[in-house]
Amino acid sequence: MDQFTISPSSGVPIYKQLFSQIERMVLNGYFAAGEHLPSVRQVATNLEVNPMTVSKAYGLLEERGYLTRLRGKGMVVAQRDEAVSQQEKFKMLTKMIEELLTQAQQMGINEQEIIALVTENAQKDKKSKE
Amino acid sequence: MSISKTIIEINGLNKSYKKEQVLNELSWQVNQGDVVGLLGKNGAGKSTLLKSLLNIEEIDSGEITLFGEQYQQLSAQTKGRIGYVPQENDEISWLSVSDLIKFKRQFYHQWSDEKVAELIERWDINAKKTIAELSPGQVQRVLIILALAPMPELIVFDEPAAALDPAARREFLKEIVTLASDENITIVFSTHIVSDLERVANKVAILEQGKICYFDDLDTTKENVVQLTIRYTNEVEIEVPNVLRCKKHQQGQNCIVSKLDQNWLTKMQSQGVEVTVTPMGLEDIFLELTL
Amino acid sequence: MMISTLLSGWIHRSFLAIFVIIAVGVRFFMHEEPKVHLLYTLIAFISFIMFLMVATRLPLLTHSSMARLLPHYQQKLKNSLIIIWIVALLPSLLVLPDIVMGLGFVSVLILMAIIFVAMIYKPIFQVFFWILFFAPLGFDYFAPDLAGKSIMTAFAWCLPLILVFANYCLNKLIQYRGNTTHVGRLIAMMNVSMEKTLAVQENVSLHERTKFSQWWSNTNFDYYRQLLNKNKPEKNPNKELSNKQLIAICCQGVNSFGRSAYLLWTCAIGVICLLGLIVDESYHRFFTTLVTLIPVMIVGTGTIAVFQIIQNKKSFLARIAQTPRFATPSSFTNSFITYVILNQVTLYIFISVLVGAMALIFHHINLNTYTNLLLVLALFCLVNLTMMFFSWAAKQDHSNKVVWVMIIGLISLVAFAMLLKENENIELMFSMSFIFVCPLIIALFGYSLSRYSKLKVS
Repeated sequence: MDQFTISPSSGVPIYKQLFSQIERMVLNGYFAAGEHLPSVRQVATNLEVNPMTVSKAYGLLEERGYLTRLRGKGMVVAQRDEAVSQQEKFKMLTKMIEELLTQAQQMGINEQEIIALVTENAQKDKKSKE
Repeated sequence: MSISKTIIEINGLNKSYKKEQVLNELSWQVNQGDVVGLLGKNGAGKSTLLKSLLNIEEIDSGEITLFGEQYQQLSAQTKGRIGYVPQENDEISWLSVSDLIKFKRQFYHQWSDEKVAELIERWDINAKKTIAELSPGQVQRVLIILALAPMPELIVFDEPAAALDPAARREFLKEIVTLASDENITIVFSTHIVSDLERVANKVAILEQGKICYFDDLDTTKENVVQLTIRYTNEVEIEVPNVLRCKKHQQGQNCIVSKLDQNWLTKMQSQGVEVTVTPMGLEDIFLELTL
Repeated sequence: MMISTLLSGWIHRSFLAIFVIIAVGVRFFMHEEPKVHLLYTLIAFISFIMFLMVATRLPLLTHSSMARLLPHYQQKLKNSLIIIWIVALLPSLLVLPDIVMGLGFVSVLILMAIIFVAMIYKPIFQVFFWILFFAPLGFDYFAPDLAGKSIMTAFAWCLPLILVFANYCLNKLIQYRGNTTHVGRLIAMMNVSMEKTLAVQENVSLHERTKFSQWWSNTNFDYYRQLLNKNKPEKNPNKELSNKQLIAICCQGVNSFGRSAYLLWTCAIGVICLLGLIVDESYHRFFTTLVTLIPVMIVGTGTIAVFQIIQNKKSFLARIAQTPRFATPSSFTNSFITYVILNQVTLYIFISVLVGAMALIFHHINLNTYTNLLLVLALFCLVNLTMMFFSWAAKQDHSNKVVWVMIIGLISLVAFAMLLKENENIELMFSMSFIFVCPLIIALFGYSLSRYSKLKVS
């Protein structure tokens, strides 16, 4: 039940925090297709937030095709086309890379340096896993 | 979404103490199912507004409707649908908690003994003690229990969390969340602890200079009121729409806007002006809006 | 600064001033022998109020944190106390032509002051207070040959001794640090009443009070607690108590004049009447002060306390009026008005009966004066009720003014009653001014009621 965490005092609306969290969890396979999500009420009491906030996040996820509403059974993770799913993943990463690039630009670091940094870290990661 | 009913409607409310005008032509509307956090500086008149709309304090002029009925001539049924937790404890202090409950239940047609028993148990209140013997935090909890016992549909809390310690405040917020999951229940609570509001409210109202100067969705508020960091390419000052406050420095401008204009943002970006949008916490938003 | 703390409260001060003026008036404008008694009583009364006032505030100074920090604090406190003492003894100069009498009076008053202060710090000294109070009676009963004059001469000779003793006590007092819990309670009560100029101590919660006042209030509250618990909610879940009973519960405060107060006063009067029956009639004059003081005290506590308690509970009562129980239009106002009127009428009937009983035993007033008194009391009751309802109907808080007017009214009532007693042949019922004033007050009362119920429609 404690899958979700929020920070209420941040400037990002709570429903958006929930949305991006669940979006990521669906994309990285934490929630498998067909899996039930906790009910709005459960999440709301657990996080001590207004239930409407939770249902707003769920609604948005449904709209984007991540979740489907089953009558009387709540929300389940939607069956998704592999290609669409891949596209979504790229979209999300692109957004993160964009952010990275802006930061880098402000620090005065160029493209080559970033690519080098990425490869270096990826190799380190590989090594530690072995 | 279905169109929800209006629970509270206030038009042109005026109220003054001696020569000081506390509420000035105030108009406001709260819909069913909303959890409204009422913010305002000390002495802005939050308590006065809440007391006036429940006919606990007399107003100078104005129209107030609760559940569609004129607020001074409510039917027994409507009166039973309203719960109120006052800021200052004025309950009969020489009665024990259990006697006070016995006393209070006589005023209502509907009263949930189960709810009372459950909350007394959960909030660890010694019902044998008199109100005078309880600590301020415990008294506050008793007041909340008394307000919730008649199963009201509109609950008005005046600074509910002020006397509570952090743990008790959490318990209280949990109770509000449980209540709020019932779509029929409308909650209005005044507070100056902004973090309480961020979790449980879905609407935020700001009382300033005798008026509700701001009333909107909490999420919309957070999306609208943002901080913009603008970096200059050349040193020409840029006109920002809906600006609340702007500070100019050597490399650019720091601005806070009340409503972020997306068209303006794309226009700027296409012109090569670097604009970073940073969201703001509600506390900062509140301070900016009441400046 | 110290003197103003000790004497703070303009109501007390004006109260004192009025009495001093009356005393001076009595001294210079009335030369008959019986007036000397009145003069002594007045002076004793003035000193009584003054000493009580100063004594109750003393803990604020002796037990304040400043006492240990400020240099020469004790010396300053002693000087202020001596100044107040001298001022307090000034009225006894009015007796001056009779030097022995005057000196004797001064001794008695100094003793009284010492006992009062001791009583505040240590309740056990109340014993001495009662001894002093009943001393004249005792002397007369056990040693009838001893004239008042010779006692006073004895006191006059004792004066140097008493002064030395007083100085010793003063030095002890300014260093006194003991009994902190008891003094703490007193200070808590004083701080509240200092703000409001008049002692409404409703705001001090019950368990911070003295043991006696806790017990006393609880005897009243217990009745209502029983009332709440008598009816089992399982049998009859709704409306076991009448609207009036519920409002009565709302309006009970620590200073309420409740059932136990009625009982206590009845017993006290019973004892006094019994004493009056036992002792010889020639001693009855010693009771006169007591017998006139008691009804005044009852009116004071029973009327002003009710007004202030309800004034303090205004917003709570407004909340109660907003419950489903009082949904029928004006059901709350009607029950509330009935409660207040019944409460006051009971009180005044009680007083009338008391005065009647005492008049039968002590013969201090005759039948005609008694009927006159009843009429005045009835009007006074109406005037007070009128003021209460006007004040509760007003948007702004005028309670302090109203209390002040009530106290002035009470003093005038006493003065008027004395006047009635002096002129035994007046038949108030047939006097023109009474016939004129009566309907006026009734009309005002009616107007205040209609105003109150109109403003509080719901």
